[in-house]
Amino acid sequence: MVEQGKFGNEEAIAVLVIACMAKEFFTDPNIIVRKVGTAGWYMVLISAAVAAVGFTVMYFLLKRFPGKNVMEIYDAVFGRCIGFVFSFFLAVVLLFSAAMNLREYVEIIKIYVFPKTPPVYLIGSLAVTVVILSFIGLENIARYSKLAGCVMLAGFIILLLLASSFFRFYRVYPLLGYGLRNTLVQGFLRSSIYGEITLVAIFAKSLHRIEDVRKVGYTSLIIAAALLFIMQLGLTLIFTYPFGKELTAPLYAVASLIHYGAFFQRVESLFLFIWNISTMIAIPLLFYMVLLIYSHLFKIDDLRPIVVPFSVILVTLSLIPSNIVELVQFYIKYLREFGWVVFYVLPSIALTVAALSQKKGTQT
Amino acid sequence: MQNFLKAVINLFTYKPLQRFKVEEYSQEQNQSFENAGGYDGEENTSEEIDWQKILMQAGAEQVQENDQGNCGAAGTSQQANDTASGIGKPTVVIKRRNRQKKGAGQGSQGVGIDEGDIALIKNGMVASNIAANIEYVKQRFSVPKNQDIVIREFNIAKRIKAFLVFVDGMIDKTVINQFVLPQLMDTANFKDFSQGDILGYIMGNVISIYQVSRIKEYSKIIPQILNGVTALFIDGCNEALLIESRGFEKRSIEAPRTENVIRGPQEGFTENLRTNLSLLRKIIKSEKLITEILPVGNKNRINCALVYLDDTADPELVEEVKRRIRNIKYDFVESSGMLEQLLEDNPFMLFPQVISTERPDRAASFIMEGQVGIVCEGSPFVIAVPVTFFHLLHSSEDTMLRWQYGTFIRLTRFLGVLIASLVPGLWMALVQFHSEMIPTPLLLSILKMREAVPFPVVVEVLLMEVAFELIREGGIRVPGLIGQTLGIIGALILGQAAVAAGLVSPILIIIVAITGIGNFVIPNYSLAMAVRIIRFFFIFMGAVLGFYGISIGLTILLALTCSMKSFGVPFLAPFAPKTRRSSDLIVRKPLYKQSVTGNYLDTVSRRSGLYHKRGE
Repeated sequence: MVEQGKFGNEEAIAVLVIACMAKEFFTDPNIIVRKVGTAGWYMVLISAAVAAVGFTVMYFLLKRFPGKNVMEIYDAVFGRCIGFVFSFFLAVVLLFSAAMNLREYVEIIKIYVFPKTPPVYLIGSLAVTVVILSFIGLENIARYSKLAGCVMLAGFIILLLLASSFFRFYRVYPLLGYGLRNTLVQGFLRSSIYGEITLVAIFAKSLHRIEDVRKVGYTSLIIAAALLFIMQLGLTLIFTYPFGKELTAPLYAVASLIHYGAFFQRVESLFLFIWNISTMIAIPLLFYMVLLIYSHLFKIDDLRPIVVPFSVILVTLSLIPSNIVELVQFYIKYLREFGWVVFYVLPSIALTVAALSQKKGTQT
Repeated sequence: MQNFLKAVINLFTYKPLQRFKVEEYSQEQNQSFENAGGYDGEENTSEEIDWQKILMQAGAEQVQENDQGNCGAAGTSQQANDTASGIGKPTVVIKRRNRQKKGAGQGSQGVGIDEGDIALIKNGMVASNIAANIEYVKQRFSVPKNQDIVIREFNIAKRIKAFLVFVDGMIDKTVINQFVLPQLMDTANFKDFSQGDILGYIMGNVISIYQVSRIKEYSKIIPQILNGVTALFIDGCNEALLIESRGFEKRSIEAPRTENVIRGPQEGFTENLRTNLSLLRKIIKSEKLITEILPVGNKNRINCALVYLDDTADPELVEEVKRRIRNIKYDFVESSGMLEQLLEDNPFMLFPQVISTERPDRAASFIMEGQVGIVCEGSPFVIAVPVTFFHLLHSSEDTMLRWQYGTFIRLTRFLGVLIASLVPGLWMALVQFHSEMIPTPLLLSILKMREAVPFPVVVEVLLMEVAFELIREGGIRVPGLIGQTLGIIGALILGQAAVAAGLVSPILIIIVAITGIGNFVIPNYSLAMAVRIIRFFFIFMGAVLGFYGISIGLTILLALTCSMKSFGVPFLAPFAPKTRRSSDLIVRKPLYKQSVTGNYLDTVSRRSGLYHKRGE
């Protein structure tokens, strides 16, 4: 049994919100504009509503088996073999997601900041950070998230405020984008952008009570949805949607637009810190969750021996896409559009089976 | 005839060595001496003692013994006359024995000393036989080779053999010359003494010293002698009398050298433990202020005092501090600087995990907030534990000033930390990777200035930073005013000359200078040292990966800092993790609004500390 440490609700909320938001800073706003046009700003709310249902299912599952994490619940509901498959599948998706997020981040900063630097150099340096943070442990990652989260939130708000001079409210039209039905379908499919909220089920034991899981889950979801809503609305108001479709990283483009006089201009590099640090929290979190699941599956008591081997796998997976186009249009697309299966459907199956077979946990 | 037969029987009878039960023998100790002398109760008594020599030498002398063994100077058959005054006749009866005769049938070992004494001295207890005690003490202190140990033999009331042991230079000679020896030697003082407990009689009627106690174990007596206490051994008594006589040379109280304030007291700690404790007591006049003294160092055994408020400090914290001090297995602990390194949670972390101060008012405020102060003999710095990052940014002046000024100063310090650690690294990143951020006119100016510089920016920055470190270190080592002059001249001339020679650009001089000033703003020396080292880490990260590298550096550094603990208290508390916080961390409030201490220290009564709730 790996000792994860205990932390408070604020730390948990910070780490989950950052994990949700980090991947949205890069190509996702562009994809959303491509899919739903000008309706992206409320599409994220539809996705949040779907994610809320998914998280509610997860919460009921955790409540049914108090004091257990989701891997133990899968084992309790389905037995060791099927539970193993469920947990293993979750671990694989999380590891793959971490690797793809890592590659996406590296590709973006390579385009804008380090055009001549080999990607493996940037991936390697981030992998070292991931290894160090994994050694430090989840408790300290969460504490650092809270510390950095406040600064990043302030930076994010300042960024939007400074860019507010470019807001043009006519750009929000047509309100329904490519059609309401399309927006609803895309909103449902892309509900996995909030999938990281369900990670709370993996580290549920680090929180004090089951009520904390509920508070953390819903609060994180609300904050993440609010931030995404503001971000997507701001982008819609700044860029016309045909132009927005052409930008690889719209938020970075917003930062580069800001100029107040001859001195305060081209400040996008300062906002790099927000993206760098959020990614450096999100990827270690996903990576640590994979380690936790793996250690549960194979009954490993100490995470440290598996950290470096898994980081090698992470780097290797992140090098699979041959270029950013392949990465965005294939790997990330399917991760975002079908991630909800892992995040919400698997717990739903488990809850249904547990209800039908009347399996319940006991409070320890 | 009967005695002779007994002696013969004893000679041919095997008797196993009598193991002496120390716990049965030891009795209640004088608490004040334990505190004063630093007895820990865990003294290592495995000394290398030549027993054969002690017993042989002791046996070769005439020994006086009392019949009643344990300090019983009794006997009614003979009464001594008071020859000096003729007023009284003390009934001290001393039975003289010829040890040569007694030991005739006992072989070569233990000649003239009965088995009880042998057992006592072998178990580290004071023997009744004074000769054995003298020899034992001489052996322990390597007398006569060790020349500052004084063993003064004399007769109490001209009859009872006794000796004093003390360390020359560590005692107040007046005490010995005026209040101990004359009174013990004066027969008039013993005119009322007839029989019984002579040590009790001396304590109660003869020696006019404020602190006297009787101890049986050498393991307690020897450290006391080394601390400046005088030990009195009396023939026939298997206890020694410890007489408070400490009086060594010490520095007077002066203004603190490293923590200057404009408002606030100008007293600093000295190297003397007693003085330092009295300075604390002078500020905290509370009966709940506890001082516990523990010896540190396997060989040098210096004393360090734990000072805490009994009704405020977390008892588990106090126990933990004591446990760590007792478990120090290090031969030579010189002062609080070494003790600090032996006590801290994680020696590999860069930030200090204890706080040291040379200001009694600051140490007192730590103690009032529930921290444990450790006053170490020989050091003018008092350690306080646990510590958080915010403690390290505070200075005692903050609370002396009005809250607006205090807040302003603290924010300046916080900015100083950020500048000192990040500015050179950010400059590196900016120039090498993100030059688009620099406004065009400024960029052109920088490029023009760098035109003549042959080195890359990283070499330029490192060159100046290393030069600055050299000047600073040189300025500290060179004494007095020359040091200051060296610093100023060095910085001015070296900087100017480097620019003129085209080695560095002028803007870099500004960067290095504000970094240095930012570092000087940090009130804690250890934190300032840590920031100096961190600066080089960020220069490296900025040079290699720009802002991305600095982000990596920040993430690693802050995550590691989040994992740091000082005696169980997270280093970044009460922010990470969040606990109920005192309103005295960065932004100060008016004093009357500072309702409670932060609960991250887990104090016994969270309102019993420095700040009381309004209306209480």
